[in-house]
Amino acid sequence: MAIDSDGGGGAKRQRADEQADRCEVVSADAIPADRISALPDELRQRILTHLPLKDAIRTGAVARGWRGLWRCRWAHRSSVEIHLGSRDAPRRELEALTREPRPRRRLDRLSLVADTCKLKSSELRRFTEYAAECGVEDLHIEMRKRTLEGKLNFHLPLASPLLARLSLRRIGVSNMYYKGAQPFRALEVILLHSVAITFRTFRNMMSLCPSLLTLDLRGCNFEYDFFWAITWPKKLRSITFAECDGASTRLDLLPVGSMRSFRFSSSFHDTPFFLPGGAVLSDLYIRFSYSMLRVDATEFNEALPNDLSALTVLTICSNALPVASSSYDAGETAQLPKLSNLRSLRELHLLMSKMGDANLADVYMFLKTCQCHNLERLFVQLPKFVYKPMESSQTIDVAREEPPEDGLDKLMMVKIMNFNWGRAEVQLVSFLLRKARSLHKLLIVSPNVTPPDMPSVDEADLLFLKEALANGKMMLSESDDAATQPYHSEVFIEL
Amino acid sequence: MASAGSGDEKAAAAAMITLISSDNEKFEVTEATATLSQTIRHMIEDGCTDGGVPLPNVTSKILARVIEYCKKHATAAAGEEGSSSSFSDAAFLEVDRAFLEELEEFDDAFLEVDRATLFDLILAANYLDIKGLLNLTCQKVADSVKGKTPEQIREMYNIVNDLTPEEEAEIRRETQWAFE
Repeated sequence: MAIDSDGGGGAKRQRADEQADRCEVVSADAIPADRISALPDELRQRILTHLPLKDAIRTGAVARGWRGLWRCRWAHRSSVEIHLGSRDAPRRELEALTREPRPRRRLDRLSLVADTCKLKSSELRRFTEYAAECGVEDLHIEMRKRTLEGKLNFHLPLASPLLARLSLRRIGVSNMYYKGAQPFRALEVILLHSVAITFRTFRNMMSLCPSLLTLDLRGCNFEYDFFWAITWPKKLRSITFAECDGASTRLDLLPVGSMRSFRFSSSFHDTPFFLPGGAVLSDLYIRFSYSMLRVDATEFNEALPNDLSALTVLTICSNALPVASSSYDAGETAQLPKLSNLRSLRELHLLMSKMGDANLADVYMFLKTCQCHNLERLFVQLPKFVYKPMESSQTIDVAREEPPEDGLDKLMMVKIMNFNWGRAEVQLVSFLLRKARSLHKLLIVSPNVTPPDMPSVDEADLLFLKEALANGKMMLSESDDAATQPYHSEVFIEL
Repeated sequence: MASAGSGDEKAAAAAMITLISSDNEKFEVTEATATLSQTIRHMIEDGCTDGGVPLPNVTSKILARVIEYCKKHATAAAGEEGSSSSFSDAAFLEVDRAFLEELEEFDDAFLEVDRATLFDLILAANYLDIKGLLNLTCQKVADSVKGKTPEQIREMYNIVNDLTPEEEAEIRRETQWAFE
């Protein structure tokens, strides 16, 4: 223990104090000590028990010695997963839980996954009541099989006042309004996956969650004017709308001026979105289910905020690339696309559902348009399957786009997934090797670590790749490495 | 209870304990004050406090602060015991409330120390096993971290980030919701 610092044995208190003060001044001039990390684990864990789960988790990223410390901040097991796999499982599990002593242990996380449809409403209610008694902060409830609509409902008012994150899958949500319902002040994250929810319930949910930061909606069906007239939580920062292809709604998010992050993976035609013109986005994910034949550039550009110059991470799919880089009509004059001033962009992630000559032209066109001179990391997700008929594209004579001459000076890292040695794929890599002058790591994940015989591939391009492989600038592997992943990696489903 | 109270004081005055800091300074405290520390309570129970209790892990500067805390809270504990056996009418509740408020104010003022002292207090509270002081000081550190990003926490506490960018990205991905 480093308490004994002044060492004035037997000195008068006043003198000791003076010395101690002087010591502090001296040590402040030297390299300041990291006192908090020097505390024994047990004391640091005690400090973490005074924090909400979210803040405790964050400490895990400050340094190596803090990693995972939060997971064992409580002396007991604080993350519980209950799996209801058989008919009598609900009763058995509930009996075990009710036998636990009171006051209940604190729980960071409770996950309840039910295979069985036999879970009764009253049993579900008892599970959520137990979770609330444990002050649970992260609650996940999932039905593996879809229950009859309206039969099994989650009741938010029963949830813990400390609840920070709620994740529901394949379960209904009861209408939450009742007289005197208290707001959930700690609730910051809501994920609804394949959840049946009525407009009224959703509206009540939003009004009861004043601290909500993140809203994640996946595989849900909403009525046409579902998002109209919602009073959105004031601090709502991040909205994800994915896999809602069956829905036919207008994702009207114009009032969410606090939005910083938007992730969209659906059909823009069926569920057009409208983002607030003044929003300052820092990350954007755009994946369209279908190519944008039926959507024009004007519609797409008008949906985006006016100024995207603060954007640092962009993920965009090949279906959206052409409209993202074409000018659009605004009144009488043609305007530059809104994705044309990406001066803060650090990471670009391209989701290519095809990679033929036309797609490569789209990529080049986009890189020229977007002005992303500060780009540092590029991820390219190529299609898993090779499109053999692409050979014919040579005869169709696709309008070739010349690669951009500059703009990639700060690009340091490139990772290409599902590389299949197709002509356009090889061309893209060769282009990056030539034009990205600061590049020091090019990772390629490919099912074939040696180039197969591809007659259509340009020999000169292939030579660049072979050279880069030989000098170690380019690395080729069969398996993905977990260390280098795009920012938007957890978010979505397979292409 | 009034007469019993003065009796307690007499009894307490009789039983004094000497605490000796790492820099050999001696502090005379009442047993009631000293026994807020479970460590010292056990020593007293084992009858090994004659000639003073050496505390080689605590400097005089920190020990003085710890004693200040214990004195205040020992009176508080005595006060609570007194009131719990008294009439619980409005007047007493009022007194209780005022006393608790005063204690809270004391705690707040007590925590107005620099970071180095705060960590010394945590270590001392842990070594001396003083639950209240340990909770109070840990809460203070926790409050300073609340709502901060990892970068801000590092800066505040001079923590050197020895994670590779890949490791850090991985940690963030594991529980991304907490970092958004």
